[in-house]
Amino acid sequence: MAVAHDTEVQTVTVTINGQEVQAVPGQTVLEVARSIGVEIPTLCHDERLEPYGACRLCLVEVEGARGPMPACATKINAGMKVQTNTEKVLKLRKFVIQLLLSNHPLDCPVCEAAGDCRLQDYAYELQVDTLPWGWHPLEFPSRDDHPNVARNPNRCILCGRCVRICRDVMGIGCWGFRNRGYLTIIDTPYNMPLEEVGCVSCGQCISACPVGALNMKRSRFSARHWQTAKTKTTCAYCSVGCEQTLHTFRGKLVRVLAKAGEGVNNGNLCSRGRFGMEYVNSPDRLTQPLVRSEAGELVPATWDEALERVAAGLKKAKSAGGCKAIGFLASATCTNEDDYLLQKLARSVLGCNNIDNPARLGETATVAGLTSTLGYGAMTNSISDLADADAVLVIGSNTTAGHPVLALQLVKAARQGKALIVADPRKTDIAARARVHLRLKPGTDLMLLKGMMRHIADSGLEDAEFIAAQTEGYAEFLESLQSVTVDEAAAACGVEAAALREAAELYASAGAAGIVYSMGLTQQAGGMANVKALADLVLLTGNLGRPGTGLAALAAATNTQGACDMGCLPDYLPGYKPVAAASRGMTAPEMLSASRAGEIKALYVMGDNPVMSAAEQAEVREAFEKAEFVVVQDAFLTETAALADVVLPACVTAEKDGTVTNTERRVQLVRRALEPKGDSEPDWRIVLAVAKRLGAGWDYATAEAVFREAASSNPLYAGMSYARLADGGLQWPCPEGGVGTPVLYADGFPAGKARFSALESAEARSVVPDADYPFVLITGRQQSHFGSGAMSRRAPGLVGLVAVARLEVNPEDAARLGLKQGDRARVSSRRGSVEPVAWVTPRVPAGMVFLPIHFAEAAANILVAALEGDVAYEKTAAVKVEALT
Amino acid sequence: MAPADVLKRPSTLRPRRRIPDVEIGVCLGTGGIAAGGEDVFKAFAEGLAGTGLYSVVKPREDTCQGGCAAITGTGCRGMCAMDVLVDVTTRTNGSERTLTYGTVTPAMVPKIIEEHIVGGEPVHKWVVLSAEEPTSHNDFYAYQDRLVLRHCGKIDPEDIDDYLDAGGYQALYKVLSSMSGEQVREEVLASGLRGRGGAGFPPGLKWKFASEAPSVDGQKYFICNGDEGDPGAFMDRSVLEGDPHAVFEGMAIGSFAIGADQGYVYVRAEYPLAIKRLKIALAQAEERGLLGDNIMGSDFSFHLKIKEGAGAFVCGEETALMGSIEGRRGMPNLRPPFPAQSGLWKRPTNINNVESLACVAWIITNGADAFAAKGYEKSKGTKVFAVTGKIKRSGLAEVPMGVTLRDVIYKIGGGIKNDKPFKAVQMGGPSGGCLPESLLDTRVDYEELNQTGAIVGSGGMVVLDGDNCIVDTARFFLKFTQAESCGKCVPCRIGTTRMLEVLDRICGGKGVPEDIDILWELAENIKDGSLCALGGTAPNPVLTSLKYFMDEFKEHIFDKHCRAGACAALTTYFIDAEACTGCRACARACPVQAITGEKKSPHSIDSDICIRCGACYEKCRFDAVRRK
Repeated sequence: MAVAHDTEVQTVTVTINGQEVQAVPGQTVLEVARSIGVEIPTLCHDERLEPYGACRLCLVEVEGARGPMPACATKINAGMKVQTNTEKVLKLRKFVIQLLLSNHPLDCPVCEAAGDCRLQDYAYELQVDTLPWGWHPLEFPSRDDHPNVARNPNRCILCGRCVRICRDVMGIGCWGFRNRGYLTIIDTPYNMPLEEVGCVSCGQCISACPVGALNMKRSRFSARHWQTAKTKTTCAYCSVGCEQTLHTFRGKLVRVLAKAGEGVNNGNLCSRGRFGMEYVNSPDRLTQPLVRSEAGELVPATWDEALERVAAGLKKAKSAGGCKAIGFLASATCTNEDDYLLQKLARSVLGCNNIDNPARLGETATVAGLTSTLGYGAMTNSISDLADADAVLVIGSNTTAGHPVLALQLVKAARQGKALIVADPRKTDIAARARVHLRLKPGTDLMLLKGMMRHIADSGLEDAEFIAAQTEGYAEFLESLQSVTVDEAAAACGVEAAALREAAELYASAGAAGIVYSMGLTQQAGGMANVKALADLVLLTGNLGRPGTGLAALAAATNTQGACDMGCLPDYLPGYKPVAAASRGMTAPEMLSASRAGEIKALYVMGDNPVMSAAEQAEVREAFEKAEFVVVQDAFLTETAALADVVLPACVTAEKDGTVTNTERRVQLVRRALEPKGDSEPDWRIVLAVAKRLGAGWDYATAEAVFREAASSNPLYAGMSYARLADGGLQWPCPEGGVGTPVLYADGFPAGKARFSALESAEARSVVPDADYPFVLITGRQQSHFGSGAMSRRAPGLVGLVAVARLEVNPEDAARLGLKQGDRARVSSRRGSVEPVAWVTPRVPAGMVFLPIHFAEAAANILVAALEGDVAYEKTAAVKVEALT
Repeated sequence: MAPADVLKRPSTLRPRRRIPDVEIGVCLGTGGIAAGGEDVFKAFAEGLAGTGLYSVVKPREDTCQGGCAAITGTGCRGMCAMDVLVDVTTRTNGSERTLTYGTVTPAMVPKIIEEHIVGGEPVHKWVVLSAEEPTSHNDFYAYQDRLVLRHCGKIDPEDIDDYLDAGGYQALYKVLSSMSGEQVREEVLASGLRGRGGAGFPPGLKWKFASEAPSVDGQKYFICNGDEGDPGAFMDRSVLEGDPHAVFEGMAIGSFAIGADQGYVYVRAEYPLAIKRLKIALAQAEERGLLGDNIMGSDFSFHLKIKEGAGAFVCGEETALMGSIEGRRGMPNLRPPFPAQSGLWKRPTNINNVESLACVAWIITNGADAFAAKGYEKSKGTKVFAVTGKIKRSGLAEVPMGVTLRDVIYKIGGGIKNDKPFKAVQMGGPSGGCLPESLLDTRVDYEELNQTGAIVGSGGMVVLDGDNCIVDTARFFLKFTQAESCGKCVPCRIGTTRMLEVLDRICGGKGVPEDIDILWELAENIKDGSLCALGGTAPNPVLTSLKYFMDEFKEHIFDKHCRAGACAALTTYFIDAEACTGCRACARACPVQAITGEKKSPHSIDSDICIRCGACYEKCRFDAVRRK
């Protein structure tokens, strides 16, 4: 990324086609040639992969070499003289293309890749207009049995990019070579269905295919490559913020691509990013405002009627209960512009600090926990850093499910032999790759961290120099460590003491050690204490301020970070300027309980679905039912919108301009790829219209105008503008004229020194199962879906992968309960019950079950309890499980 | 280097033994076993026991009373055409006499025991080799210089004591007791030994690179490439089967020289006997402390594993081989990085061929000069050739490098079978080339052979006579590489297929004049464009055939004629009515009843039914079946 190189890089001179070039040793001929605009054709090369040298198209002549050399793999050296276009190599290139076409189906008129096919391009460029050895098309059967991946082996040129990206980047290995010689084909192990060999449907293989052998099944025959409009934007799902290009044709999204070498994702996408955007085309989209009729039905209305109802409802609430009687719930999936204006509506038009956002589910523990210890309440380093770490501790993050593209950095680190330590009760995909997997009991995270730190301190592995120079509060912290021994901690967590020690040593003795954590750590009672303990761990070992170190606090959604940055918090204004204690507003759970108590009269929700996403679903529902007036802005009639008095149809991200801020504090553009569906409007325009109805003299012509104001009022964003964000975005803090900050604290701490926190007593806070409710339920995410399911369950490409909620049950328990794979089960807590389908798997330990949160018909949040405080909701509950016959 | 006094001398690691009065060595190499060696072995054991004069014991046991006979199953001694070969050594009054019987069957054994062992008079008519009397096959060994094969056929490969008796592990002792790694590398480099796997790259240099290459964790590996896959090459198998410890000793010395403590012998799964004997040998060597931790009490440790291949020819290519050991599909990778820099599991790795390694202990014991004194110009030492095809004495011939092809074929091989005229020799397997009679005085020397378009390669020499079609032979070798291509790079995978189609066409009588140019063009581009040596050399048989035997290609294409009668589509069989005696031999031989005719009157062949198998042609004693 944009890190300036402090050390002078030694360059050497090489000559390419007679032109002298300065190049860095280690660069390949291909890289150097492309850097000066000399194109060398390649088929098997992919910037995301190691050189492979199979296609023989990039052969060049190097003076003194015995024969033609592959440019993709040949490293330059001083004085090297390269010719890239001699008669000999041109002849060889033409030969290769002739060979490839000699058994290619030549079905370009109906091939998805046409227009974006390297083979086609090179055949044209090299004027391969004859096949001197005849045409011998292959006759392998095509396979179509995967929801998203269609394959035509006859078009395959065996470049192996699919094989390698699945194996080397994804760390899976669904593809391999079968047969030998001329009959070699790419296939799954034993020709099994792709879905049965560990495929996560990321479509990375399709993205790597230079021809039309692997296709996106659902977008076949929807538009030729040259017919589509292409819009570069940021993915609307998780907080990694992958750059993607939306291809649209005749008002519809037809496919999503990403380009290697660009964005935080370097061309990689996950199943959601690649196959999950089709919700924008959904017939479920709201196309006009809805208002509740006297009969209690939601009926279509004009914008004028709807806005009038909104203004009247809000005014009425305010006059009944003052500004405290209105609560605003901002969005973690809308843009910064949307969120900025909503908090401005709340604060400057209605004079109310009752504004919160879904970060309350967990991320606010980071905001509070890290602001008070390190200075900034966000991820310290960059995503790309993780692969540079010598050790990474992953705790409370099912990374491959929650943040799949970020998880690739962990996969890479593990493949390179770096020490990956995963603390998770479940054997998640990332845990399966760990060198040390600490299968701790739910709720014992703080105990685990305490044990690790005790061992580090006892073994003298702490970074004394760093502690002395850069921190305060060490003595109290050390004192607080004494309450538990390493062995006691291990016993309390249910892990081997030796494993805990090993994890501590691996982390503490690594040159650079990183930490990845997410909702598993924060979304529980004591979430903030957990975050502070992690801050202690990085301070104890001096793992801050350098690439590969720090804390990767992973936010849940596209713009959770931005919603906080924009001040959609009851206690912070934009840029984390604290609200005076007396004026502090209510948090989301406080608002909901106040609504139940009749104190909140009106609730205003923008782009959020708390009925699904918050715990204690019954109470949340009651809060919305009790409120006298509820407004919901959304693209769909969500479970929450269904309870509203006025529903305002909002655009999806693909129809908006704006910015979002990803988990590494990178502010990136989203761009309008489609016209708004029906009468839907971008959220910020809706908020603007509401404000105007309430008499505000606001005037914003564009989202960019909103951003200009938001940036000027927020020192972290001060140096940002749409123009400056256009090329990959910038990481805050970015003061006026700044270039952004990939690594926080490289030059010390905002407060001068970082602060150790004395550790709270670390007794497990998790639910305790009993005779009536003998299982511990953990709720969480799964890779193919997202959040409340509002988007992902309207994307056929994702529904095709997983359509129903699956309850993970250990085989031992399943046998005892008489549950078989696919059986329907009833899971009940003291709060209610749901009926998911059983998935018998040793991923969960005996005595534990796992249920994803994305499925309304088996909503996990019916079962779990809410909490008060910085973090609002639980991820665990004591449940019983029965087999339904 | 360890002080000599703490090391255990290999000679002290075995029991002393009594020299038997009679020693019988039965060839139990793969060839010997295939010819019935195990039954012959059993017949000798039972027969000798039956005489009552001798107790039949393994040579290790020195408990035998009275006359003592020892029977040893040995590895291959090279003269495979004469299997089962049996050496009989008798010792009387201090004088020792060794004879070799050839094509021995169990039925012959009682007579050999009765007349030779008991009676003292050899069965002369069955003797094929003797120092005392002229035999038809003495020439086979007379022109050889057996260095690689020094123990093959002499020792029991399943008994480490045999190897120790023959001076085994003395070279390793010398290295551990008195040499530095650098001295070892220098010695092997100075010997002029070049890699016997085919490329001819000096192992001494490889060792130097591997010893100098840094390793992230200090780990380095030493691999023996025993994936001998060339059709017609079987010298590595014979060494692995007949003298496994020589390979281990070479590996241990090499590992000492590069600083490796782990090694693999990669053997193709098609060599089950070699795998079995390697495993036995490994267990014995470890048990004696000659491999494993602290070898001979030194601080040098070397752990060896035997890794079986899975049937892919391309795994003989070193990067593919390492992939196979790692558990991946064997597909060659780009070099650089070379294995010496980044090999097995990305650690510096040295890979040498079996035959190269079998030379190492000899070089250390006898000195680099002694090795360099053998051979020719830039090709030093001896090389084993596997001579097969239309030759009288097929088998393994180890000769000093620099002798001529003619000497190998005529002096050692005894000339062409049935004294037919020589046509060509396919030198160096599927990567090599087909050389005509005019080049028979070419020396077996890396540089000289390369100039002809053939290569020394692994040392396969397939001799062809007039019944072999050059186009068909080129097609055979290309079909082999085409089928064994790993499929990774385009020129090899598709290019060889397109070439094969052209050759199929020519042999099938459908060749067109442009085919010659198409073959040239494909061949040249495949050579230039392929990723690894498999593809880079695959066109060689075709290119040399085109170069030296263009007439035959033209005959196939223009005249639709195959002079060898090997290409079925270009051959017609008919019966010369005047010569035919009506004996019906041809009709009985015909597998498809294409021949009709009354007894004692001329027969005829229905060419619509005839499948051109040539069975009638072979059968006819009156030259009445003709071919055109």
